[in-house]
Amino acid sequence: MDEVEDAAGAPGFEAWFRDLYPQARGIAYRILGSAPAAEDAAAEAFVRAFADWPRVGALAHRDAWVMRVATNVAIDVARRSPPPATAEVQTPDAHELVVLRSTLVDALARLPRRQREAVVLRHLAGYPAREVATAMGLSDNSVKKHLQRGLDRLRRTVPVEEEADLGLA
Amino acid sequence: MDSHDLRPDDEVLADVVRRGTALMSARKRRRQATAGAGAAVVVLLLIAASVAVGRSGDGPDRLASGGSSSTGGVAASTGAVEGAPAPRPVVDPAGTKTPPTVRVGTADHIVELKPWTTCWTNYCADGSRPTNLQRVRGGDLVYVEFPVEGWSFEATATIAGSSCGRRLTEQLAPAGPTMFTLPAQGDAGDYVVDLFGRGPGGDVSVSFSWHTDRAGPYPKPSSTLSLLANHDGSVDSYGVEFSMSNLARTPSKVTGAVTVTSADGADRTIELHPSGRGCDGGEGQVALTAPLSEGKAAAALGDPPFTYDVSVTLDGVVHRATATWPKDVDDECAPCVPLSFDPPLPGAGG
Repeated sequence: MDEVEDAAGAPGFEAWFRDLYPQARGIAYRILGSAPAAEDAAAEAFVRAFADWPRVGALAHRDAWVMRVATNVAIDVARRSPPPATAEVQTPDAHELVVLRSTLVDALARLPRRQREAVVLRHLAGYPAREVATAMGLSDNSVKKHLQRGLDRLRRTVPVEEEADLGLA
Repeated sequence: MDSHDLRPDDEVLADVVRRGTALMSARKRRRQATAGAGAAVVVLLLIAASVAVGRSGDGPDRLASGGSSSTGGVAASTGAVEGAPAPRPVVDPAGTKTPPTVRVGTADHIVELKPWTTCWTNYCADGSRPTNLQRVRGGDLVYVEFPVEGWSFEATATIAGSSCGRRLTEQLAPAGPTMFTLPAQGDAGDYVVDLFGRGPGGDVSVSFSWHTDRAGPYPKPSSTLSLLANHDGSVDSYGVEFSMSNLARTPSKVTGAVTVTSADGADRTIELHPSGRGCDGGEGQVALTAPLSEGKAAAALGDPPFTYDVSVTLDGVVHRATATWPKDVDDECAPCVPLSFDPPLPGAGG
């Protein structure tokens, strides 16, 4: 853990990482459906935070910031990668989840960027609208617009019952 | 996620620190290389300029000079606005790789702001508000210039140093094809201002600090309710969210309820509860919510139109409002409806 002790040059980073990393990984997992890929996406978000820690660490809403980055990294990864192969699917339930996740990722990826970020931060990560607004550089009202329009579009693609399964409802 | 799939957090942290340190080093090397190349270019430009004008010109016009990070796609210049920075030539987003900077200030003083988050033509870049914000001078009004036509800007100002303070939001008024005005709002003081602009080509977020030396008006109190929604022609609910903005102060005690009545008289009363994790809205804001299942139950009451009878109690004072869904839906925040209360909500600034 020498490298971690070297992180003393980034005061507060380690505690922040330990607090937030599981949540970032969880959000990325919902998008990617693969534990290793979710770890990579979440870790990438924290790499970017660490590399710019004096600035990111001082942000009032740095938690939402790192979730936003993790979300976008996960979506980018999902766009580039096919869904998990059938061979990895162990049970009918797991198969349904893969299909659901593919549907969700496809639907999220089709959303305009701002709508997607707002929906994921608010509904997958559970951040208050204000924190979402600050992390995205928007007003509260703009976030609400993006949320409503994003959810509206999502619901045209992903049935409500499936949203609930994926933690979106 | 099965726990056996996961790497220990310590291991991930070590990896993050290692990769983060490598990324910092790479960025440092790039900056040094860029600075070296930039210095060489500056020397060459200075030599060329001194040859061309013999050092007898008026010097650089800091308001009208370039500085945009864009390349190409320049069209005719727009007209000047008195008291405003000189507008730059209009840029066609299709001919650019990165968005232009946003200029904020007055004719005498201007700062040039590089977007910290943007979606531009076919890419997006995430960032975060810089910690060392450029400071804008302009006591009660500043101009915002962005050299792409068809754009709109929205400003959100928060008292500096307060992460949970009052947020003042306003839509910037156009003062020309690429020029906007931003008047001061609220009490005089130091504000952090986030500007979000969008239009042809994408969107940009920039921020600056602004000391206003004169008080401006406060936005009027407003309130909205999202409950029922039109889902491809059928009544649905996307969640129950009630909000009040720009109140004189945040009430210490808030309760609320909405009774939804369908066209055939079936009704359901939904209790509203604070949504709050942390500061959800800041000073003068109230956000209440109810479970999605309540919204779904209301949607199943019957046929539209539906009446919303809203009652909120702010520190013991009862305020009531009525709206009709879908007639009163505001296109800007559909499916929400704006609410007008009796007695009126107490506003900031008297």
